[in-house]
Amino acid sequence: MANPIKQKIILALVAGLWAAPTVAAESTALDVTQVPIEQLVQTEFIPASRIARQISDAPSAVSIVTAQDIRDYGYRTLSDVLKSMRGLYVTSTLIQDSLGGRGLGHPGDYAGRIMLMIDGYAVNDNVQNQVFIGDDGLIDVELIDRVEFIPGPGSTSYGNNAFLGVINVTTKRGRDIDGVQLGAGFGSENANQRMQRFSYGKHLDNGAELLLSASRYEDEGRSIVFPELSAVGLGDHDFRHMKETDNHRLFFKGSYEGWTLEFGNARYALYDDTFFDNGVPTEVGRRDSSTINDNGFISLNYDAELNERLKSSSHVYYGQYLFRSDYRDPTIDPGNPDLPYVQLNNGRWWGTDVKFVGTWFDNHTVLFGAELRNNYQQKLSDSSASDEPLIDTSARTLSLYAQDEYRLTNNFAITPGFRYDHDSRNGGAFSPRLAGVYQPWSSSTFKLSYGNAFRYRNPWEDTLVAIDPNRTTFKQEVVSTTELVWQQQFSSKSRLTTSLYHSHITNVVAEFHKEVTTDGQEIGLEHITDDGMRLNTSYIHQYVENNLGPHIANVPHWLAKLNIAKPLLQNQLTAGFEVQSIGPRYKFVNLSKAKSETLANLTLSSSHLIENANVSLSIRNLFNTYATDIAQPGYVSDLRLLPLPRRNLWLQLEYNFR
Amino acid sequence: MRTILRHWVLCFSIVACGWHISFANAAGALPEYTVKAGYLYNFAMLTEWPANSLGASLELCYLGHEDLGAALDALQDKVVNNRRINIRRLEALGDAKECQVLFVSEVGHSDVSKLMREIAGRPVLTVTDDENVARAGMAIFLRPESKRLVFEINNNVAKSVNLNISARLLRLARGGGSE
Repeated sequence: MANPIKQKIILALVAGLWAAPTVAAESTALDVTQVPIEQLVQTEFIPASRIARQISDAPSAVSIVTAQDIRDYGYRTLSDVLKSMRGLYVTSTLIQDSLGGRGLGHPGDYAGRIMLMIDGYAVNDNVQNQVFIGDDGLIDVELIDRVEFIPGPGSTSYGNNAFLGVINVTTKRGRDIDGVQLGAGFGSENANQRMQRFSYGKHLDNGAELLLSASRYEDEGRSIVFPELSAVGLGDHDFRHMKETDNHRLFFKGSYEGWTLEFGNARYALYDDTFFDNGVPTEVGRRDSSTINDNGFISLNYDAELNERLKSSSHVYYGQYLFRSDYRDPTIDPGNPDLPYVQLNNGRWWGTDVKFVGTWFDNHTVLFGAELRNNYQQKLSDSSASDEPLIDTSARTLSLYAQDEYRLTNNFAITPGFRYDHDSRNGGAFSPRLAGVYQPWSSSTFKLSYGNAFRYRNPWEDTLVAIDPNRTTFKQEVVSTTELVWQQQFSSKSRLTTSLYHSHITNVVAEFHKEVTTDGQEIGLEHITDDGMRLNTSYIHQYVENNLGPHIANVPHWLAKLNIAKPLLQNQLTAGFEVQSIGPRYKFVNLSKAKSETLANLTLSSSHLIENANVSLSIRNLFNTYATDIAQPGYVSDLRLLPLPRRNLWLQLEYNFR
Repeated sequence: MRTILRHWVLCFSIVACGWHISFANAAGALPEYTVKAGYLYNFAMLTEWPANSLGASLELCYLGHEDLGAALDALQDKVVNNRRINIRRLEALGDAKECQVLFVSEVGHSDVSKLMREIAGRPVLTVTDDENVARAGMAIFLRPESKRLVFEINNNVAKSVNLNISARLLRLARGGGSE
């Protein structure tokens, strides 16, 4: 901490915010029966605070972030949202953010082992199975109504890639925007960091809803100083303008009666003028590179009530993914240091899914369906390696699934289910799951589940296996997870969630180890006080081992989080404060440990400051802590740590024309 | 960095100066559950029940938060159309048929179909603030719309159980009370 006096002032201010008495906006004197209805329809209301309810009926310890949280804590990307959730953490490689949790933390690892869904459409690409959660994400967080993270095996419902968990993003409806909304953001983390957004939403008289949004985000990167480099004789390296980002997003959602049509596209362009290897600065290697990620999808859904006891949901989708990197690398051909190279990944797919939910029998809810997915283009090439594509393939997957929720007694239900996937390239996979939910009292819920999930080897991993004989050659990996969850509702305003789990991964794909075992405990508490302060805190502990030993890089032993949002000045202003701590974790390769670190953020927001507008100011890394991420293998020398941004600000304005 | 910081502080101070202007706007705002209680009182007042379905009191039942209950308690023993209001928190779904007004707030989806079967055909004015519940066939749906609470009326549902919703109420409903 650079300036202790400044730190103390900030600390005192933050403490003051939370100690400030909230003047409760109760109007006890008012007799509401004396208010005529004509006046009631004109009266503004102060929304009651409540703990968000789980939408999905998954038998696991689901975490939820709502649009209110996104606004109150000033989240700007999906990474920010996920970082606040129990048991998850994000590691940045400066180019891409990757998600860690439940025993896996290798950048790139978890992305392929978790499924990200936007309104029921799985967005993982079909070349590397990545999910994009940072500035390259598919959707503006301002359009998100809620995010649910469902930890545990999800293949029984969703098949390939729903390996360790499923992130369900639900977007807002047209009526939630209701008119034209203009957004603008300015940040100090990177030079010229700014965002503009135009959104239009409407609930039409005929019942149709429309939402259309376009946004742009750009920055010129930040100066990154690596003081540790002097320790290894490289001097104080200061990487200036190491990247320049330009990101465009487009989103459309239209619904009418049972039909919903969605379209989304994000184009993320990055220009570097320093040496890079996989986003990590190195002494030698890639330079002058420009990188483009272009992701898009179209999804059409039709929900129908066929009769009183049978509902159906039909889905057709198309998705595409393009990655292009133009670069020079003097190490490839030292005689020709300026030779340009191109790395190109191309993926295209379409699919269809039909699902039925039947309630023909008392106490049974039966779900069954089939999905066909055609990954008709999966292509990787790198002109520095070969003029021919490294891989150019395609595959079809046909899946069948069924589950039955059987309510044995009033307070006890079991849900057996399975899914069978057959892939033309990687073979068959069977994913069974059995879950029991017991509610001895209405306030207590116990959920016990056992399930399998799988993940096929992707085309990118095919190329890794082809060039490195030391990697495993399995075509699919399987995880078996047993989890016990206890949820205790102390009142409508307090909820405790605890979880114990054990998971075992076998046949790890394209790695140097074959098996991973994880044991973990999680505890989370959500509480809302009478004056509307929302508190959400969690602690997790995990122990991970693979068949080579316990030294798994970038997997912390523990994570602790605290989120507090407090309305101030008669609900005129909301202060959102969050603290995230990450425990010690191994660095890559040299097996030394990084220390535990703590970061805090503060957001002040108000929708009353300016009529029809929402203004928010976020201070990220409030105490200006020096913190680092574990860098990917390949990072300069033996340091293997990447400094995170120091204290920075983000100001966001949203104006509504109604 | 320091100049950027100073710039930001300046921006924020300017915004903060406009603070007092906005105070008046939200001064008349009421807590959500208080407004909902006010609506329920008015719905009861502006609806006619079949003569044979009413007892000495008007049973106003609810399913939902305890905070909602606290706000509804303000209606206890108020008189509406010569009948004293009795507030009841629904303990068992089977009791629903004894209600004249039933407010369903934030309950699990699975309970709703069971509840609808319990009150099928009975003159119960059903009100909800949950969209999924509203779709199951409730007469009135209360929902937020830009800082205010508005309501939609499905008059077919009300008519099918012989409830007569007054024109005054229908006029104020979003969409004018769809048929």
